[in-house]
Amino acid sequence: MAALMVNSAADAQTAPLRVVSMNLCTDQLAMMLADKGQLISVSDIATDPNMSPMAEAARAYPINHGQAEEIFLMRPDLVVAGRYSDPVVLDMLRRLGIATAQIDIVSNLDQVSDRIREMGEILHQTARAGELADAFEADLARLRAAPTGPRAAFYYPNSYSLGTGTLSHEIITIAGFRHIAEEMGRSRSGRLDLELLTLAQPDLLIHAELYSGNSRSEEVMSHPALANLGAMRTQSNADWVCGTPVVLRAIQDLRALRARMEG
Amino acid sequence: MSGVSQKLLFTGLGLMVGLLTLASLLIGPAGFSIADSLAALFGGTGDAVSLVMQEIRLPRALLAIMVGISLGLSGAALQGYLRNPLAEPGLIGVSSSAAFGAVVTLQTGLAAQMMFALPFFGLFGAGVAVVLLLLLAGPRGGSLTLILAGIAISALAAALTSLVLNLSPNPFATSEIVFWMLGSLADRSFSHITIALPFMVLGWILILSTSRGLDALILGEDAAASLGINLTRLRWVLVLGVAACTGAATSVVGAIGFVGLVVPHILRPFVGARPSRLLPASALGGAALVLAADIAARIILPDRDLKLGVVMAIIGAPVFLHLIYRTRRAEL
Amino acid sequence: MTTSCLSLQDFTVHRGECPVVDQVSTELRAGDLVGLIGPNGAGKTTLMRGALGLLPYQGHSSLSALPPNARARAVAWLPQTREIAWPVSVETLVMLGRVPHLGAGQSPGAEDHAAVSDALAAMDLTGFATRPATALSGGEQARVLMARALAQNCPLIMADEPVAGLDPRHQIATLAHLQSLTQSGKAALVSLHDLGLAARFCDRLILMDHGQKIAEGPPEGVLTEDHLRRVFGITAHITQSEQGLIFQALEVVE
Repeated sequence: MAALMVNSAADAQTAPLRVVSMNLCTDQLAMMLADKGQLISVSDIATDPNMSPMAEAARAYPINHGQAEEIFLMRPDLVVAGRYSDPVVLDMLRRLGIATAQIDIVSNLDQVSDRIREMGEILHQTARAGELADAFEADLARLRAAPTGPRAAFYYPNSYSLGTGTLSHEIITIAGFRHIAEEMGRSRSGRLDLELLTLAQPDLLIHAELYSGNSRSEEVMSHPALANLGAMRTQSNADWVCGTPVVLRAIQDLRALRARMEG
Repeated sequence: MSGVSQKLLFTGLGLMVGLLTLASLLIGPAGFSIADSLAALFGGTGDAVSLVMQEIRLPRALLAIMVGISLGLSGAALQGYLRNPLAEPGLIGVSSSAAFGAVVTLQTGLAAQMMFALPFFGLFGAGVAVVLLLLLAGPRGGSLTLILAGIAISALAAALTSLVLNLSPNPFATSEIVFWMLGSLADRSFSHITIALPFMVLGWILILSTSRGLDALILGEDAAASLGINLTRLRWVLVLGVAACTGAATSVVGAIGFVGLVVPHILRPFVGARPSRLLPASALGGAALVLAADIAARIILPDRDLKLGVVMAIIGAPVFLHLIYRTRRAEL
Repeated sequence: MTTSCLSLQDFTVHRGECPVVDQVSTELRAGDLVGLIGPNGAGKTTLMRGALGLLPYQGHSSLSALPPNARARAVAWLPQTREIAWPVSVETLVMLGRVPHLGAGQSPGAEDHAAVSDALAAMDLTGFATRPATALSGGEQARVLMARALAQNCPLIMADEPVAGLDPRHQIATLAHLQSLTQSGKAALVSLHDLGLAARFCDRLILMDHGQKIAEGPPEGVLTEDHLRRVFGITAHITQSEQGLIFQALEVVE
């Protein structure tokens, strides 16, 4: 899905000089493509190392919390957001005369270069975007491996497991793993009973990092049945979340893991 | 109505528990044949089917039995002591308070530091509730005072539990109030059984030792005391016994209500209303009910984790309403 | 000298500041059937409960000095409030009287079943054994509870208003049975409102008023015109007959 351009009160031919990003994924793309001084704010999540792979870089920017009033006071001429960003806020910004653009999420890796190019258009950084996209495609082709490797499964708190129609699925299959969701015919994410997971006997279990404090939801990940499977464990982290070139790092880590598992 | 032959009753109950245990072991999302299941349960080593049977289904069934015994005994004991058929750990706030004790232990990290901290603080929470209840609505209090005290204690415990969960830095904790208030046997393991069992067994022994006292209480406190029953000791043994097994059960599976209400009510005619016989009968009946409800929860919504408390409430609330109706008619 | 079943010396029970039972001394021996009489609020129930050790007291009571198990075998107590909490069978209820005689976890034996049948027969309840106790009439329940006290087979029976609400036949039968028990060696302390029954059946009466023992002795000596006027505020007609003292209250006096 192409970028949505709504109410271009700003002239589409003029480059936006003051851009505010209010979504984690658009933060990343904007930070990679914008000129110095063009991007004036990123979302608060961008500075959280648990969720953002560019937390260090994001600290250089003033942050916003996705509220219409605070963004308006920054006097942007363009606000970029995700597809599912708060529509009430975006509507308010438009009525205040600010141009907004929304970028869709990514569910397969082929869409990543599309998004890069879209962001490039929006920011009037087409040259830079083109380079980044080409580099991404080349790296991706280099990292792509045949899915003949070990079998992997995602298992998150509350027995939540991912389906085949997700970015994470792409990441592990590109790295050469086989996803048990494919064998089970699970395209949508949802609860996977512990019994079924145990029976599938995956070689690799992918968890999320445990939060501080205690929750019963996270207990299932240390259930004896899983422990006795003897599967390798790893964690998905901030690199997995957005469809940006950062996913290449995740794929690289997985390839290294696969080499260790098979070697 | 005097009781049916006691041998018949207990054989029947025992058989029911046995069959339901078998059913619980054989029912699950992973569809094995009966032969494979049983072979893996007893023989298998390390392969996936054995893992499912030994580490997932077996602890679940055993825990259902342990929880059922605890709740059945506690309900029968409380009813015998308070001489009121409406008393049971869920309704009178004992389970909610145990849940509060458990949640505090988990959120402060104590549970991770000391092995038995979790069931112990469940016991403590439950004990506070029973003592409070006896103070507010002791044996001389009628049904009204009992239920009001129970509502007050339940409400307070639930609110405090929710507060503690909301204060947690963990984003999942907030929504776990549902587990604590409704209870679930899903994904439990032998580690839960290990920490809960000692406290439960202690509770069972203490409660069963009150048999004679509860029988004597049929005649009222004065007559019971004159028959040689030490009423003070009886009260504390009961408090500790109920707190121990209900507290331990709640700390590992959440607050499950209505078992202690429904089971003694149904079995009372079969034991000739004798409290001493109702105790062991309710233990077996409670095990059967929790097993059955857990099986139902797995059959009704196999993909989701349907909380045990939902099934129990569907069974138990109509019984509760019926009992209130009968009590009201008797008191008119 | 016959055995003493109950000995009270300077026995006092307080509620707050007020002595509800005030310095009462008395002694019951085997063979005594003693009636405890007095107007409402005289302290009869409190005296009995205190003597059993169910209330804190000052002074001496031989019964409450005993450990609970020994006490349960020494005296059977029948309270005024006739509680039956659950619909158990009559037999089960009466069998509760055997609790002090059974060891922990012990089941009733032949001797216990015999005691229960005898008690049921004495209270005219043979045939009621399997009926649920709560389904009986008030009078029948009172007899069942008395049967429990009889089944306990103690040297002393203390009963608080045991025949209130019974029909005349069963009032007389119950007291007659107590009388025959005392004649064969037991003792009984019974509080009664019906002065006619007290006069006829009791060997001795203890008259209480405002916590104090006003008089103790044979019925003729206690039910004097002076006592009746001062304590009960009534006049009465009293005559001797072959069946014992006949008492009929007549008029209220100012």
